[in-house]
Amino acid sequence: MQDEIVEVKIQKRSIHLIVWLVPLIALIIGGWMLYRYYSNLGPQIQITFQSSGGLEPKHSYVKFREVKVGRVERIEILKKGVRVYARVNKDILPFLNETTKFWIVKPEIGLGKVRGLDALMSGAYIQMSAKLGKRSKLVFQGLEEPPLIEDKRGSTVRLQASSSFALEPGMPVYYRQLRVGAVKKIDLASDGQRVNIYLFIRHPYDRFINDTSRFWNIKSVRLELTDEGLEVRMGSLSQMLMGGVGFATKNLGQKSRISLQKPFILYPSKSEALQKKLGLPREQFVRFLLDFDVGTGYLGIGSPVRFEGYKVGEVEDVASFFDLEHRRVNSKVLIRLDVSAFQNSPKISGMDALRKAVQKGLKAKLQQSNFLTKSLFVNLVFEKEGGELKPLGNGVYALPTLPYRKSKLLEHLDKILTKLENLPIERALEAFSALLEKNQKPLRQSLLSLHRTLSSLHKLLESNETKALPKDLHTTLRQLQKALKEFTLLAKGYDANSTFKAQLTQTLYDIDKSAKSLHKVLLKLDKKPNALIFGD
Amino acid sequence: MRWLRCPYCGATNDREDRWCGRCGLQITLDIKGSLYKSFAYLLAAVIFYIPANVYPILQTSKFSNVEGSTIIGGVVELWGEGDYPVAIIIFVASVLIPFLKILVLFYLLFTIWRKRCKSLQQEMWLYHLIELTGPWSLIDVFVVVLLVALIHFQSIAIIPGIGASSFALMVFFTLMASYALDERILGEICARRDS
Amino acid sequence: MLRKDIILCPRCFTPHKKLPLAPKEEARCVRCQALLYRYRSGLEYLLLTLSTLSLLCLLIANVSPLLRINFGELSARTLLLEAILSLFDKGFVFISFFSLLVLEVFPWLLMGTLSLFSILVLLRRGKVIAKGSLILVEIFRRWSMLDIFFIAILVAMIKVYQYAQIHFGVAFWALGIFVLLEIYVVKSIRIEELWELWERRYEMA
Repeated sequence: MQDEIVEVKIQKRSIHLIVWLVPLIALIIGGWMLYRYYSNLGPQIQITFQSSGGLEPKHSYVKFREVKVGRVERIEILKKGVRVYARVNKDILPFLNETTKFWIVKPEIGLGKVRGLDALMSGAYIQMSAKLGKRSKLVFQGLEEPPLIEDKRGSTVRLQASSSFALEPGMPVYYRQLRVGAVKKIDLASDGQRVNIYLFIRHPYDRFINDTSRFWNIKSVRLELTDEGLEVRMGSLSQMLMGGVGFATKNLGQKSRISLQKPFILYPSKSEALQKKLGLPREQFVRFLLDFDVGTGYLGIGSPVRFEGYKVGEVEDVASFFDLEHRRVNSKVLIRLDVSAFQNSPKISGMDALRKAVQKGLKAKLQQSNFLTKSLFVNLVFEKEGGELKPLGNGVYALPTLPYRKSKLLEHLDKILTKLENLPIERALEAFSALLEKNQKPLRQSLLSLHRTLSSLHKLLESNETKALPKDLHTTLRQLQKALKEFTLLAKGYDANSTFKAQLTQTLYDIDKSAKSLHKVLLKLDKKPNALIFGD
Repeated sequence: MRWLRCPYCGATNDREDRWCGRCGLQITLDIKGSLYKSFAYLLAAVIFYIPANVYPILQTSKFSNVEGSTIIGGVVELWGEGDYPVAIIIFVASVLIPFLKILVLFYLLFTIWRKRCKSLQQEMWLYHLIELTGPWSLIDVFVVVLLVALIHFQSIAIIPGIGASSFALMVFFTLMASYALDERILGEICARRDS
Repeated sequence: MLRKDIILCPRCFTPHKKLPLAPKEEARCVRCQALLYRYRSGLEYLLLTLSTLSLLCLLIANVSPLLRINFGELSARTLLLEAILSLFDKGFVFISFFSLLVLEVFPWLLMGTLSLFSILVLLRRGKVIAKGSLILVEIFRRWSMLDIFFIAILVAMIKVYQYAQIHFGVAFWALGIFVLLEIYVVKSIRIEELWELWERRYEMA
């Protein structure tokens, strides 16, 4: 290389471009981010709710078909309620129209049900449902509760009951142990007396609902004493934990007609739902006021109203007043009566059928259901004289009544009991011993089998698996144990006279039969203790 | 050539000087030493280049389901998502630059070793190019640092992969290799050819 | 022998005779057009201002949160130093240590020594210390990589912005300003200019 020195070239200052490459790159990336952000930005929508339901600006999402399609930007407090401003994605624009519905999903956890589990992870969010529509909209009125009819096919059924039976939205509906729907919504009827329970039944199954359908509340394990002996009904663990609603339909051939105007009755249990029913299948309840000239201290709310042994209604309210003039207590009893029981053809209405029956002499009467407990029930009987239904307003009618008389038979029994009480006990005991001697064999047998049952029942109660069972089941078993013990004691040494011999033998025979069927259950449980928990 | 440029302060010294008259640092040309040092670093970089590209640079664990992604995988993913400028930047910085850098360094070292100079201007341009762009390969490493620091939730977490360490080491060694290579040697060789 | 009147082109090593420049002028190599030097005045003041500003930015960038991201209800934020050390906990010692050097130690030292240098030069004291600090500056500037980190933040955010909400903290903006200042201080002002400044200031004394 040459060693000669040249002079530098002097020129105007130029911008050193390569140095500022870094800010340039930063600008490109930043600009790209902004471009992507704004090009994806959809419209802002406004939804008005009564309360924000835990929504948080900039955190809460709008979900549509399980996809996050937008985000809450801010929440404004109005005079009444709140207005939520949400930014939604461009691609759901065609779904913002007159069919669009918004509601807030909050996490809810209770025993046996978890709802909005995803909301637990993400916080409350706004759920959107929509179909393609005609008029596009950006301002909406939000729903306070999830809408009843969703995109899915199926029908909504309204049930009525005096209590919600602790049912909750989301609980399952079973038809022949098959899950066919869910409880959608529960609210109080406008009169405040009944509870409306709305069920959603999925598509192919809703055709099994017609006027002959019966709905009942599914509870966990039930022990029932029926004519055939003791029966233990067990659901699976999930049914036990979740509860729910079951239904059955007697006449499947009948065309299904579901109308929200005509609610079905929700029975407290399956056995009550499937009870034999008088008249037409679909109940129709009307309230009646009964006037009695006696105190009704032994008439409880919920006591049955019977006609010829059929339960046709129940007592809703009882009010008693002291009548100084006649020195007695007057009572007014409000009952709910299923007027369809008197219907023998669908052509005449239940109310007309009852009116005719009253004209023919149907009257209400208080009657003692059990001479030991003195509890009363309302019995409907025919008398010679015809009466009349008087409307009292508010849909309540006055039903003619009969004065209360202790039945002759009961009076007679009362006398017998008094006599019995006066009998010398020692003598009776001796007589019973003699009786035992005579009937030694069968009685021994009964006592032995009772004893066996008791000891295995005791074993069952002491085992850890049983202790972990629901508390009420445990107490039921304990009570049964106690009752059996008392019966054993009774059988071992209590007075008897010859008049009671047959009755006592019959009672013992009955106990033995129950004990045997209980023993069968216990044996099964011994082999398979899990049956109680997981269903048979 | 009568003078030597001080590599540290740019002062002009006589060729015979061992120390710079301005900053006092050693300015003698050590062709062999520079060549060997640079080559050693380059070799280390090549060794780390392989695991850096084969093993995932970061792993995403979603509910303890771990999924790794390599550098190239990350670029393909970004491209697929439509983030073209970023995909290009990552591709250039993390794939192209390290690869070209190693190639260029090999070429320069070969030139020095064989004492064959094609064009001083071209070689100096190459040298400055890799010196300028070299550190930018670290973008991916820093991205991993940031994502790991930010995303460590129960449900989703980002864990650095083995590839990340290898990649960082690879970049580190290429940087060392280019710093160890004395640019004046290129001038020296070309000057010898000229004279 | 030091030749102050001669400058060798950094690209082609052609010796040039130095000529004085008027404002807004620059000297280039006759052979390869490479920039040799520029007209500068008041460089010491500029340097002091920029380096102290950089130190301030660096301080802000270190004490305030860098980023906050939200994944729905999940939220995370990080400081610069936290981010670097989080890899240390996960056993990635090299990356963590290397990042600590190039993102914390060297930027601080670079701006610190530059401030020290400009103060010394302004006071015309400590010639040897000023010289030592300039030697160090040359090393530190090569290994100060916050500018790359800044771009990396943007790239990382591009990767997550679709799933998460990103809030840039004060530190992010401070870092941005630091990067601009650093580019000006170490890339636009060349190390030779600083050496000449050092020469000039202490010769006059």
